[in-house]
Amino acid sequence: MAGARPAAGEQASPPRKIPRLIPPDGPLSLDEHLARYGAIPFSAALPSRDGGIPALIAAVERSGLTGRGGAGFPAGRKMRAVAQAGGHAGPFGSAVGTVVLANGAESEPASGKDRLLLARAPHLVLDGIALAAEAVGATRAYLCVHSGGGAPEPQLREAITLRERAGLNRVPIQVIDVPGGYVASQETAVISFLNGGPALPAFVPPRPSRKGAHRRPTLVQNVETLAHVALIARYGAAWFREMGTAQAAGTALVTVGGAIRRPGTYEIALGTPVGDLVQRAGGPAEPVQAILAGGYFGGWLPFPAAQRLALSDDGLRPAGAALGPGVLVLLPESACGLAETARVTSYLASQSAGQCGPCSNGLPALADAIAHIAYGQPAGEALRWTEHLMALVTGRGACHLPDGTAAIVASALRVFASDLRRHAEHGPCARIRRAPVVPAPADPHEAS
Amino acid sequence: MNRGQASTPGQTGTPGQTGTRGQTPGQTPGPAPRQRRGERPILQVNPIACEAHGLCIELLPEMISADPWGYPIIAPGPVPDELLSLAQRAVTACPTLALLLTRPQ
Repeated sequence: MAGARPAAGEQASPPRKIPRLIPPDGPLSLDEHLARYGAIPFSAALPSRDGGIPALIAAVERSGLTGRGGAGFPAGRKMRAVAQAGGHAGPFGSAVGTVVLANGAESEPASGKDRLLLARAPHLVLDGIALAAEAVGATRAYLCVHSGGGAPEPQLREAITLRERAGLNRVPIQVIDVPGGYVASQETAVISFLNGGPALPAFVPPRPSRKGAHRRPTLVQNVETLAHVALIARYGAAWFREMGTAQAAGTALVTVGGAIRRPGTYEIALGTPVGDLVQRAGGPAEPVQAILAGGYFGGWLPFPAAQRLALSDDGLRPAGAALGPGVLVLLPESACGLAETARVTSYLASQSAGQCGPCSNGLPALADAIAHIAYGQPAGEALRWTEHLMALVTGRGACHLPDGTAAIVASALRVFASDLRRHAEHGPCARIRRAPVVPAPADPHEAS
Repeated sequence: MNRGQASTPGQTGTPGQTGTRGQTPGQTPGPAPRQRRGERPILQVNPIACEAHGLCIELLPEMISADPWGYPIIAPGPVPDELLSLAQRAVTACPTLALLLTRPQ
């Protein structure tokens, strides 16, 4: 309840419980949106009177908001870096026009939260883009979506036009349709695409916050992160921290799938036990043996032991998983975890952009190795070779595709260790014939 | 903030530090030290640029080995002083300019 709440939100009382992000009564029109949340507090995004960093950036830093795209980098620190790289709030005002890139391309096959957010709360995201743009001294902004993945592209353009007419967009926001593919929505890939190149990851440095789109300092934030920024600008950092934990503040959208009664996207206070979310989603649809947490850069967790774990990166990391972009997939006992992992691994290998040798050679080899473990009769050397490959690819790509692939295989070997022994003794189990549970698009070009 | 004995030039303060406490006011004119503490040079490969020509593996076997596909694996950690000139030679020899000698921030 600390006092520094921007006055612009006076007609709206801040939401005290979940949901914060997605209105339960469907998408709001622009007028309804402004009536519910209050006017956009642009004044908070201006450089402070003494020429220092805008109050909004300081508020985002205090809020503890982290990126909701998967990597979980502190959002305020990124905003500060871009504002400073652009010379914003420096002695000459904004020396270099920066760029804001809102990433809603969502290439994680098991995730649907960005699409849902853009469809149900587009104005919150657009508020966040406008405010972030003001705060970092941007002269243009992009909203990147993947239309093939079901992003509501025409509605977004319409919403932007409406806001332009209402004078709410101080910098132009352009909707960009980025190609599908697992690595295409990685931040440097989106920037390469914006700069006229292929949608492929690039080597850093330079970091996008120094030199990104149009060779300008670029703030890349996930669309959910920006929606939180829009709320922090109105209600303050202390309000944001009313939910979540000290280490993992606020709420997050989590997509729950697999053997669950009511699959879909849920907003949770970070730190909520896994079991609570499973219950909210109707409970398991059939007996469950494991959970894939964090999507394909996360890891497997044994069930029901995982129910006690807190849904946050720091709650799940010690157990070998992560919250990542907010994905939970429940694996039923009727499925083979090794076969599921083999399919995911071969999907991820197919998504290698082919730019880095250790990835383009190592991931197919790793996919073959885990396929042999799942579908063959793995001897000890198969396991050793798999582990060797995991170590070989980790940290050796321009993006984290090899690291993520190795991590999910590592967690599978740990969580499905008893299956591994059974496969080694008796050959593959009958469960490998079950229909796939974890989504892994067969055709890379259809990947969303 | 505790810098201990400021005996080596590598351990002076950060550039933004203002001497409000009046200790050693006139100490750091002249060029900034090239290398501050914790900024020892490291070898890095740009994996996109690297085409596994393998020259670096030949020129700096102390720190670089080949993976099963011929791509370089760099030993972790900073480059020891006695290997610095050899590392520099390997960097210069790389036909795709993929090997980098950098100082982490």
